[in-house]
Amino acid sequence: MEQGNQLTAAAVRAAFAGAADFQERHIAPQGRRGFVFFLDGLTAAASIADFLLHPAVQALHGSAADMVAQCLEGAVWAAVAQPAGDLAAATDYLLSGFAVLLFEGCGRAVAFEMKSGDKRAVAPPSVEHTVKGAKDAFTEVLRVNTTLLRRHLRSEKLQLREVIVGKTSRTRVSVAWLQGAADETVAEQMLRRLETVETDSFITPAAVEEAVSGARWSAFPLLRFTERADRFAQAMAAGKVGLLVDGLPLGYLAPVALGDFLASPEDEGVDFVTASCIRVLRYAAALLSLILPALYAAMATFHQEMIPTKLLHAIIESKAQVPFPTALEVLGLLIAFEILQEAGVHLPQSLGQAVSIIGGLVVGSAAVEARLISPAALIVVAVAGVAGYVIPGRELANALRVWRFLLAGAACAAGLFGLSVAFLALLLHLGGLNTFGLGYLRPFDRGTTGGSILRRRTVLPPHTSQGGSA
Amino acid sequence: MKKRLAFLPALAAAAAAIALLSLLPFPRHDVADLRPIETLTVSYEKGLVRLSGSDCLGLGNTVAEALEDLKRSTDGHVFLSTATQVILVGLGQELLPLLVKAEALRPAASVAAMARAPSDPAAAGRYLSTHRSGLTVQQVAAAMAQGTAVALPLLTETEGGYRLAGYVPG
Repeated sequence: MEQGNQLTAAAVRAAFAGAADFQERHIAPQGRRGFVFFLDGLTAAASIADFLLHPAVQALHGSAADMVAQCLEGAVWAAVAQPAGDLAAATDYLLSGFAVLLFEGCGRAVAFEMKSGDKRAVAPPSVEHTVKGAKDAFTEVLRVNTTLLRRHLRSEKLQLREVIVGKTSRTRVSVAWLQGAADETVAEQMLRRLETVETDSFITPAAVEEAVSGARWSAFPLLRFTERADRFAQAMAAGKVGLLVDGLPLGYLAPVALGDFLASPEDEGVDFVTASCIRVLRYAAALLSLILPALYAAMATFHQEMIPTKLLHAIIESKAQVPFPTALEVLGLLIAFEILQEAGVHLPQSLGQAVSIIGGLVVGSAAVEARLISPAALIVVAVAGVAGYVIPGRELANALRVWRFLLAGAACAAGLFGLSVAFLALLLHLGGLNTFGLGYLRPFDRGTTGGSILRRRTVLPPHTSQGGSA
Repeated sequence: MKKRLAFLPALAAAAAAIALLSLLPFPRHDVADLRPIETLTVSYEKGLVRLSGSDCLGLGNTVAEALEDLKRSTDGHVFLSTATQVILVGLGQELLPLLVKAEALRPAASVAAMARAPSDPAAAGRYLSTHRSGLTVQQVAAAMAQGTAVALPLLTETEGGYRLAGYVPG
């Protein structure tokens, strides 16, 4: 063992020197000097007193090595007791809500789980609402999240492997998958990536996503997140591999395809016909959100003959006295829309709504009345923005926001020709993306997936077979 | 990945170059600059072709010259793609083949003839838009290609209104 990693009381004290929440308690069972170390707040003091100090002082006897063995054999009543052979292990346990019992002159310690019960209660999802679905969302505590998963998926085949990631943050990360349903190679690949991540902290969602998906040059998400335990469990059953990170109230799922971001938890709460119709609507809304401003700019600047005569007259009338060309108008409004959206996100909810109302309605109406912008352009950008909100996966919606600008820019520069070039570039980009070896455009590949845009029936009638027409 | 994305700037640069070098096969006119014409009146008087509609006027010795004059003399860009009615006045009826060949009119525009210029071209246009003449520019072009003659529907101004004769049910 390295000299610096030797486990002594002095070494533990030195490791946490100056930490205000570091606590030390001396005990002397059978006259042998022992130290109990714990971090206040992470541990429950009452549990330490009742289940560690009390039995330790009363029941332990013999040499220090004997006492350690007795602790591990159940003389101390804590449910979880783990040996800690060096300073690093003892430190890890302390930081994970364990109390560490160390006897003088013995190079081994025992860590008892004494985690504090102070944590956020399981609450309904704040983003992924459903009318009929479950109301338990993930919290910041990894063990609570794995418990929720176990409750939704009561199968011994559910695998949960834990990895510590981050040199400084020492974040516990659980990789979950359902044996027999998931591709084991994907799970192994995920574990391998996590084990080889070279990072100081693994706390933020971006750090997790970049580490797992490889920080690619793409706005499109390569991991899906959900705050719903039921959705996570359902994805496990469907063969996905999950990732739960301590400190993040969400679970990540891989591999993903474009269609995953257009599926909503509400789809599982309604019949498959309604869900399929709504899903088609979402695809249409996503397309509308992506190309509508570009299409309007292209048609109003280059291809007016494509606009029906009455609509063209209406647009021309609405553009009368507006000093800006259509291209500038559309790009300016797109920027204004993004600014408003960003302002709404960073402000408290009540203020955010006020900003949206003032920005969207008051400033928008005033700008139209002042002839700074035309109502047609305002309507186009607003419709594109609202259509973007139909997309259940916010990460995909954000990626489409980026590409909406690119497409609009190309359309303003070269009309439908530019729009076509930019759209082609987008398709090529999407076609080149893959997660864990699986293509991003899988939903549109009938050869491998049979097409998965529509929601399939979860239970088939007994007289039909999978793929039957009945 | 960088290699895979290398085509994006190249595509963007190519599109930008084409746009900047004005190599696009279509002109750029902002919708605000358009002067859409709904009813185009064509007449031929004293050796001059006269094209008018929506307060725009073009005069010339030939149809091409008149079209050119129409575009040049108008404040903004004359947009004939919105012309849904073409009224040929008097000898202007003889200019129909030239107009069709000029390909300035939309194929679905309906065609009618008048003996005299309408007192209110906009009202005549409104009448024609609700009482379709049944003959379109496209049909005229087809007839020309086949070498057959077409009978022009005749629009007559009556007291307080219009009447369409020779209507071909479309």
